[in-house]
Amino acid sequence: MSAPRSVSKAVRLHRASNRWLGPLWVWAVLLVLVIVAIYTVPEFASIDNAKNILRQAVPLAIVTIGQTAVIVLGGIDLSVAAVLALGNTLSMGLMDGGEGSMLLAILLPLLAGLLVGTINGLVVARTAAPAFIVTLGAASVVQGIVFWYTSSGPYGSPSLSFGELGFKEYGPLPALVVFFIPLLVAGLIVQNRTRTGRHIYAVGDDDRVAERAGVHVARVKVGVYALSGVLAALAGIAVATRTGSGDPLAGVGFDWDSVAAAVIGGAVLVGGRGTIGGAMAGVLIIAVIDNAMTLKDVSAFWQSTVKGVIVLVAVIIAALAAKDVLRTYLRRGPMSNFKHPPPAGSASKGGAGA
Amino acid sequence: MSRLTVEEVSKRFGVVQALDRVSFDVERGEIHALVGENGAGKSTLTRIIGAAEAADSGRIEFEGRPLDLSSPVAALSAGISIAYQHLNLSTELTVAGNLFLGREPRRLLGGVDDRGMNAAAAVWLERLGAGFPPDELVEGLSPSDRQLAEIARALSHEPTLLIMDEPTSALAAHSAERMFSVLRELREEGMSVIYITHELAHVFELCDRVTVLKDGRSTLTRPLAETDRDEVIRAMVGRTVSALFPPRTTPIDEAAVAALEVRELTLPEYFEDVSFSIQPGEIVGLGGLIGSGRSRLAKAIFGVPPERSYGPLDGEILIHGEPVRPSGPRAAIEHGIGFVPEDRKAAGLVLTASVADNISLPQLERISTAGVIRRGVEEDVAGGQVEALRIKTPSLETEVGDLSGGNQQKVVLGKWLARGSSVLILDEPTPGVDIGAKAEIYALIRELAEQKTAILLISSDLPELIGLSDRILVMSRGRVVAQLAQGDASEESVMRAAFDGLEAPA
Repeated sequence: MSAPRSVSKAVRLHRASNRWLGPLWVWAVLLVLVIVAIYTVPEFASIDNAKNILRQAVPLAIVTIGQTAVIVLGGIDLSVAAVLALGNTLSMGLMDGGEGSMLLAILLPLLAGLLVGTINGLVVARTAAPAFIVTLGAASVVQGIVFWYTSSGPYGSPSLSFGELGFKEYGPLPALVVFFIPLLVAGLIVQNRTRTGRHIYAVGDDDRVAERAGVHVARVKVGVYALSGVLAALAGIAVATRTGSGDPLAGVGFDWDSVAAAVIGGAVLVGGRGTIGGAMAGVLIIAVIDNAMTLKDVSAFWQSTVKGVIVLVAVIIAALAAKDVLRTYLRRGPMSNFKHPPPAGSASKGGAGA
Repeated sequence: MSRLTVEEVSKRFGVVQALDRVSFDVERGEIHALVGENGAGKSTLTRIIGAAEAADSGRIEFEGRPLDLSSPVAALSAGISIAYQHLNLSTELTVAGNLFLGREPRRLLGGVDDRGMNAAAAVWLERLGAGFPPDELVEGLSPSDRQLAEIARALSHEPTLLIMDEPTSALAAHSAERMFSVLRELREEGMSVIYITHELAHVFELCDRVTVLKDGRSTLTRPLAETDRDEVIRAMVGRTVSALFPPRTTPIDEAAVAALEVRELTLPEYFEDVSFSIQPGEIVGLGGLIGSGRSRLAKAIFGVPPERSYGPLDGEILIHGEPVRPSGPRAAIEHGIGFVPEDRKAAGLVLTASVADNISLPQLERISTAGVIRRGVEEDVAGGQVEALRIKTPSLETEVGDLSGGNQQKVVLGKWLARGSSVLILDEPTPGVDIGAKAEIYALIRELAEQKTAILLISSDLPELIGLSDRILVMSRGRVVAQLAQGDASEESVMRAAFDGLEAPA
């Protein structure tokens, strides 16, 4: 008897769809949300609104690509909001309405993001400090610098051509979306087709296994946090296309939303699991909820609550699924690991003679 | 010239001398068995050879040169590959992905060459007779197939020295046979193997020479053609039982209702059809090798669910004749069961809390009023235990983590004694405990039994198991394979029963 040379076609197809798109049920949830919104929010169903949703989703999508990589690695990056604000204000400050320093106004913020991310990565990889605290600390430091830099107010402004990007369209698509697509494709390829992608999953699953196999664990970690920093700064620049000036609070909510999007998309906080594809569905779910609730004039407080509930439900489902609790529960009911002793006379013969 | 020479290697962890001037050598094209009881030092020795641990003293030469490896990666590139017993595969990757982790073949543009990787992995899988394809996710493999994948991973590095730690512990019988023939082929090509196992039959079937470790020393190195099973077992266990064990003074009340009885207890994949009972005041020992299911059984009685469930617990547990349902440790404690877990630091103690806090933890209800702890009562209870158990601590407020191993273990015992548990489960009560504290703990255990506590004792320390137990049940592969009365139990008879259980057709 010789072994099959490969898993069945159906398994391969399922796996490929999971790798590139993420879990299909997340897209199904998105679909349901869209349908609900179409029927309950009159202004929702229009081409312009659809473009608007996509345009608004791009900055979060950019941050979430980095966040997903960090979470798959078994970490978390809570500094993205502050780094986004840094990228946003630094870029606008350097541009300050002029066209001349465009290149610098884009490169320097990205370098700043790279620097913060690299420091995060080095601290996480070289010490036993938990990523949660390290990046939270970095967030505080960076946000403080942003407040100092901007004197806590609107700061700088986009150049004319840059400001147009927020509204420009190439064919049917908003310019921001067109710029984002190559980034997304690159992310998907790195995730699925490269050594680096493979190593991120291996480190996230069990870094000792990866280390023993010869993976440069520290290098992978530093690289992923650095990437997250760069992407957060880039998202800050993207946000600036839609606002008239740099905003020291431009990042507010991006930390939580990016983690939420990744987790809704199937990423698990202990690492090893998660996909950019699924996280993108998570981003769109958040964008649709935000958009529909804003159109419905739901207050910002309730928006936060509703979003929180949806994320918590997703996290609980993911955690239960990871522990196989859910499947067991559905099959047998709670506490099924321990059955009542059977009543006298009906004692079951437990698998004797195997 | 030998491929590997280990000379006078010693290693000490705290008070435990894990390796004591161990010497042996492995020839080119030799399969060298390394055997010994649990804790004899086999794993420490392999970790030292594989550079995961540094020796305190001694010399290791590989291919005639001193072995100086800075990391596991360096070991691999030097030609030393290790097949680990436990989880050394990334479950999120495919089998081929694991075989080539860290050295994935690349295509022209830098992408991973999955097709090439799968083809190369398939060669090894086919050679080992694996029934799964190379692009299967490790997560989806059975324990047996995972072990086979791990062996394929170690072999795929084409090492000159392969170290295998219990490679057949989860392996199906036909896979083991197939692996043996692959190892024999590779031996002909000059590969050397250090083969660590509990299964003596495999040693005699496959290996050329054997080295026996006992208490960190090498007690025997011999070609297998010149020795037999009895000599090997003697070399593994042969030591003198000292007078550590106080004799029983009051007879066991055989007429009383059993303090603990289990009937046909089964937990799929862990143990099956286990029945026994313990009288009040009786000490029943559970012997067997690591992985025989004894720890899992003890935890199930205490209500601790397994990390991975393959099915519900089936059968009956009776405490003093009453059927109970151990829904969790809390319920078990209420039924009067106490549990001293295997790893006292992880599961038995709050290391950063004080001696008093640890002792009062299971009986907070008793010593508090309306949720507020009465310090006076707590001090009496904890102080009483410290005195009764002769726990050497500067004060009741000392952090438990600062005490010696023996005194830490006494604090764990004190927790349950203060509670007045009528059934006490002890899972490895004395590892890392020096001989003096051991004697005191043995005296305590005996004293408890005299006071009618029923005790289930799990121990890999055979003299301890035999010296303390009134009766010994030997477990193997999740079943009770022998019951030995105190007079009949010897280290040899216990080990023999454990090994016979392994070799019996499953």
